[in-house]
Amino acid sequence: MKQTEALILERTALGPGYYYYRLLCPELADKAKPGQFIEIKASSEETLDPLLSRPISIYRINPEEGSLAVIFKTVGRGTRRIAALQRGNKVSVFGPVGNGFMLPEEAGRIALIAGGIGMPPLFSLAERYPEKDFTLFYGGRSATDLLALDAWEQLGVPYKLATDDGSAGFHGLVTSLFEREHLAASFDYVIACGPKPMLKAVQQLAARFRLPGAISLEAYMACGVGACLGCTCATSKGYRRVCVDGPVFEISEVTFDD
Amino acid sequence: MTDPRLQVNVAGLVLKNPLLPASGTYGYGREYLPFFTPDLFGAVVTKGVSTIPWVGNPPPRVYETPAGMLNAIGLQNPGVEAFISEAIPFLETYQTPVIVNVVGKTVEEYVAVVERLDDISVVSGFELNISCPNVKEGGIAFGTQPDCAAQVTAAVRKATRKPLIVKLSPNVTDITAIAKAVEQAGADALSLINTLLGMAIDLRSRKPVLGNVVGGLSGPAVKPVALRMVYQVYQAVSVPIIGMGGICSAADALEFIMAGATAVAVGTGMFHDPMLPRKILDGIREFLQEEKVENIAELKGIAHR
Repeated sequence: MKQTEALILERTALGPGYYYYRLLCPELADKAKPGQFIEIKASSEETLDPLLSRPISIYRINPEEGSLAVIFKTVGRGTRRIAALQRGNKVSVFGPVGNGFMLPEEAGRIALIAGGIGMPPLFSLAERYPEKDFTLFYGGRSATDLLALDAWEQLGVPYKLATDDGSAGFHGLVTSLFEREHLAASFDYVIACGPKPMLKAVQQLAARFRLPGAISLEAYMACGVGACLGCTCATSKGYRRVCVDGPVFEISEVTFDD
Repeated sequence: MTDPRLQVNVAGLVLKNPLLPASGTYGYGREYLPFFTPDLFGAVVTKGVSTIPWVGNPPPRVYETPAGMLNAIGLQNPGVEAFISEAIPFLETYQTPVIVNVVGKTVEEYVAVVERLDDISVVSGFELNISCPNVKEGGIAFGTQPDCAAQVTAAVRKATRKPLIVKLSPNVTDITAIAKAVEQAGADALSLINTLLGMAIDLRSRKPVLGNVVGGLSGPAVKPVALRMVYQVYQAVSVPIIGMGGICSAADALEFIMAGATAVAVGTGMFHDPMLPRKILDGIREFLQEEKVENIAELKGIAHR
């Protein structure tokens, strides 16, 4: 974990409220693994507000260039401040933080299930393991919430889309789509990242199909280094820190409240 | 890199500099190793330690507010035995004194933790968190009534000869009354302030954001309140004060010292910038240089003159 002033190499608006940033931060890019995240400072040098850095998952890792790419959605003051930064600006970041994905050797046919802005860390995973057989199930409210499909195509990972309004792909929940497809495709491993109700549904499907897997969580965070115990989630092993014990957890370990 | 100008004395402990981590923001020191070692601080103040493990509050436990944050961690900690077997061996490898923050639900629990740790040489002193609910008094925090605050201080005083610091709650009508009561009960120093009770409501769910409903406000938003309390308590007691509450710069730290603090602590500010402790120390040194101050103690309480 390192703190650095990262130079913004590229900034692209991907759609309503979605931004792609490529950051020059060689020390972080050297260490980063799929499923980890970085903390991006949301305030300028002169202000203390918004106070806390924002945990943003890593979308692409490029150690040769020394860069990390992220995609995030503006949801509040902090992410809106970050989204105002332009190419050529510098931004204070630290990381990489978290355990990252652990792909077991025997995982062959892997279903990646993304809900909304949960997609980026799954891309970094698929990019890291070109030899693995991934299929992406990608759900969002509307077609405009489904991002970087061209990048998935270039990667050669087949994807199946689902939208709440039916504007792209399957009309309904991504978990319903996965449930339907799994019967034919018989995956042997599942990895999911997205909103809590989706993760809970994936957990239930995985239990029903006896599928091993992992889920990546998000949480409000304060320190981002494991010290404050602010971001804990309930698990079968008690409260665990999302920031450094996660964000990736074994699929059955997390306890979702009703 | 010791600088004699920064050296201070708190309750008999000689600290190489006046900067400490605020309890609960620094764990037991390990998590910040990527940024600095415990030896950066004049002393380490640990996260609260209880007799048996405490699981803490249900999430969400933290929530950002304007220039601050709310937390309701619930003093999650592994208990004193795990603290001894896991944290002590780590802290022992550093030179800096260790002050153990102690939490409890009864007077007996505070005493039990202190008795268990009293013979451990790396433990240089104790800080009592008296903002914990007193289960025998219907859950009212020890620190909100002078007699309860004095009672727990006096009981722990009997259990140890090591420096005893009592951390005061700001959620009181008159903090100087509590300060005087714990001073009389044998406290060697006071630290203030703990967090200010607050809350936030989620508009979509129509419910309180925090799992615990209410939580403690910290960060720059509370600094003027904390500074005022340090200023008032300095006038009311003669024991040294460790000042804290929203410190995010050397200037903030110096304000607390001028208000009467002998040492200061940084907490939530580290969440804003993990390198902040180093920046604060550099900034203090720069100020002493510019203002030609021989020792930081010269500035203590100078705003009262």
